[in-house]
Amino acid sequence: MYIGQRVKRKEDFRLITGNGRYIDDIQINNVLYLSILRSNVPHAKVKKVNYEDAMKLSGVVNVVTGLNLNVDNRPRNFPMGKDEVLYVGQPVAAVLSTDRYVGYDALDLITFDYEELTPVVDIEQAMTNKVKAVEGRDNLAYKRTYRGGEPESAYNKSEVKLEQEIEIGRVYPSAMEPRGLLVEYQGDRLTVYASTQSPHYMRSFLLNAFSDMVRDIRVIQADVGGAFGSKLFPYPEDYIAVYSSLVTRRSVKVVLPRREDILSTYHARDQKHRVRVGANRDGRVNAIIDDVFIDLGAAWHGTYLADIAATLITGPYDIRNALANVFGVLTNKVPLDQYRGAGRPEAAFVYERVMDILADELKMDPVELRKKNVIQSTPYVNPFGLKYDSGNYINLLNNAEKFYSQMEDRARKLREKGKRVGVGISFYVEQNNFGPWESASVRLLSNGKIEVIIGAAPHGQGTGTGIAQVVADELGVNLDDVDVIWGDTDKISNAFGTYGSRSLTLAGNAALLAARKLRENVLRLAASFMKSDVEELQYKEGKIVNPKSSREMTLKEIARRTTGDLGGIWKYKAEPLLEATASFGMDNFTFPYGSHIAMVEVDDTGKVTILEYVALDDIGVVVNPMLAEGQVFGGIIQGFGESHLEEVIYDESGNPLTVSLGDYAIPTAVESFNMKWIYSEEGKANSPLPAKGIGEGATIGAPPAIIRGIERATGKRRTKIPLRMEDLSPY
Amino acid sequence: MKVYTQNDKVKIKLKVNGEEQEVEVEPRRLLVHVLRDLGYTGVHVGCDTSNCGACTVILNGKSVKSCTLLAVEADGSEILTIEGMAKDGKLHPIQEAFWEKHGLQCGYCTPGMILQAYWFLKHNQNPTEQEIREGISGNLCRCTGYQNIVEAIKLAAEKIRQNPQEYLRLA
Ligand code: FES
Ligand code: FES
Repeated sequence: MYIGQRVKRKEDFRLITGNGRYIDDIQINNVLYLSILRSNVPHAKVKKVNYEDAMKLSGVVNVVTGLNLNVDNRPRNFPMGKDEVLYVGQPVAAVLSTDRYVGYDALDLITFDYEELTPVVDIEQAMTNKVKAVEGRDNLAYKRTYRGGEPESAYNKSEVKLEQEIEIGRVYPSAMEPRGLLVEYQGDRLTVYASTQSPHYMRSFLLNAFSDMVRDIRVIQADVGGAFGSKLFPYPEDYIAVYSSLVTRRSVKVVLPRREDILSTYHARDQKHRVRVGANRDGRVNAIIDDVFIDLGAAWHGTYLADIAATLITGPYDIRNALANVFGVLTNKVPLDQYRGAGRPEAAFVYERVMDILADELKMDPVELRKKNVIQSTPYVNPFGLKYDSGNYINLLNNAEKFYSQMEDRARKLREKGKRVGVGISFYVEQNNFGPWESASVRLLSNGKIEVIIGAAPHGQGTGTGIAQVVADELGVNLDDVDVIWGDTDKISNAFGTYGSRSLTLAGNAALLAARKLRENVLRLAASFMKSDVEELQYKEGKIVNPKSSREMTLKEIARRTTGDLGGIWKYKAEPLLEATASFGMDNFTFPYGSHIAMVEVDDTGKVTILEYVALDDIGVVVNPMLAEGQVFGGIIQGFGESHLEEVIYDESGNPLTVSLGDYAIPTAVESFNMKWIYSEEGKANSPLPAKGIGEGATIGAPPAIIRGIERATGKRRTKIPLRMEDLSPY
Repeated sequence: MKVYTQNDKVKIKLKVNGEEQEVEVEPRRLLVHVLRDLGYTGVHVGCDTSNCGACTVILNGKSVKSCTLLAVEADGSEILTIEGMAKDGKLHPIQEAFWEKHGLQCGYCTPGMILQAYWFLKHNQNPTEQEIREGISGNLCRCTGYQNIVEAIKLAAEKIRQNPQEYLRLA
């Protein structure tokens, strides 16, 4: 059995030897480089773009301005600001040149005339609706209400009432590889190499925009240097690059310098909550009412961030009455989108802050309070109708409490020595496996090896290795004989990609089902080769066995028999089909859950050090604990960054102040810390491979645990992230 | 000191992973771009402010961020990139250790991380955990949370201690 083993990754050899192929590593003859002039004002009417001087520069082939396309959920001035710019960083013009240094020289020769408009810089200003962030449009992009039970009356009747404002800062996902695209021009067809989480989705949004200019677009996912949600939805540069290729009839490459990546890659989080909680004096929570304000920046993609944050606002607790009013508002900032967790970290930060603050108010132990409210059994339907599928929440909370108490003991001793140390615990439920489905094909190759093609598009998670483990087990073959490939719209017809902690479950189950189908096909073929009835044959560890005659054939022999002879005539009794395809989806999401415990020290300068950290998760069957743990470790450190170091800051006039990795500080190895991950497998998914996902869990669990630790260490109520050093120094 | 104008093309010589290379470059061109154009695309670019370390190479025995040097400044130098770490198809112990300990996810920071680890271990084969963390603090990784990178470097140190002459002679 490979499932459950810490198998080393199949992906790594190329990457550790410098043979990865990220966008900028792919060379194509005669390529043009795209460089982009971006708005340096937060809000303005664009009058005229002056680019004549740039055109004169040797090496400049073309300048594109004023490109507007009608794209769902994007502003009218998309992908370029034509008559209005909405944020600093929005593309205004693009230069195509034969050398990227020349391209940037050319940008110095382009100016644009504009008339400045007052920018909308925060939620309060946006809500007054006096100044518009987008001309002719209400600042309130959407208002949604989510209701379950009798929230108002339950709140009013409660013995204890709590009102609290909670803020979650704006972050930049910071994949180490900036975004990029390479468009290979092939006449009536393009091949697009992309740093993306979903080549299929990219193909469809590009074809939607350009179907009158090109017959087809093949999208190939290059190696992707991290994404964390930020490389899923379409970007202006994608459209500008494809358009430029089509009008110049040349191949075009765009790779963003970091500064531009920070100014244009969709930001995330940025929510303000005004939450009211009603409880009994014994700690039992009756109602939660939350007004949620999301600073969407200049555009938004649907309402899913609101939907997720709102419908999980009761968390893993049995709170029967809940109401969330979500206000999505427009401002003159980079558009907001998903980042690892997408709505779930926001919800968890709120319900976990509420639990801790309520415990303090009631002078109760925070774990006791959680136990009082935790969901007693699953399946459980929350007040908004989400059905938490499986698991034993009490058990996990009890386990977490053991670590919490031990850390509390050690923290007490450190406090006695005069250190500012505190322990925080968080408990969360996650919704994941956003579908609707995923596909996979499994092939027996002529050399007897297995090739699996998945529709998911992993980019660092190691899903290829995990799925190889699943298929190797299912077919009873050696792991070395299974290869998993993905990321090419020509290789798999319909697929979705990697996002929302879905790949191992959805693509893994699709691969499992395809492997089963392949086994059936192979059995039928073997029957004809072995002159037996299919019913007589058994599939055993990569062989087809006839127990009666004890004759057997290996997969390799079957592949040879089927493909080895050139010429001749069809003499198969069963179709020589050495492959099978399956799709897999579920009629519900999966709901993993977990707990994080952090022991935190805050020194007098306000610097936060995590002294101990434990995360516990139940994600159903864990296919490869090493990979799952890797996801947790990475997610915790991202959560730590979001809690203490990272924040996208705009000044009061809408100018971004954090425009480099010097200003926007993601954790280095020095601020990072050692972590321990413990998993249980009680809450299985309702699928043949009963695994849930773990890509995002840690970014949900980490901030509330860390902030509680800081709160305890500093003895002051904390209601926002990030908490920066200046917020934490006693001086 | 030599003064170049923008339109000068300058011939420079580099010895990369033991191979002699001669190229004509614009004086303003960054070393990282010249290396990449020569085909050493394992040298990555992750920022424009010398924060990330994705472009780390070993130049005349020192770890440098190749985005902070002009190629002309590197004229005549010997450079080790990730492509030169494995010898005759055999991985360097640091590469092995990164694989073994799951010290990479997307792999974008990995070449720079491995070279920085190489330089670090050349100077300290018995590092403490804190020394390792400080030793790689100029290299950013967004995926791993560093713990497994630190473990990988510990393991690599162990392997290297067994045969330092062999494993530390690359640059
Ligand atoms: S590319 Fe970031 S330090 Fe050189
Ligand atoms: S492995 Fe992705 S940045 Fe380090």
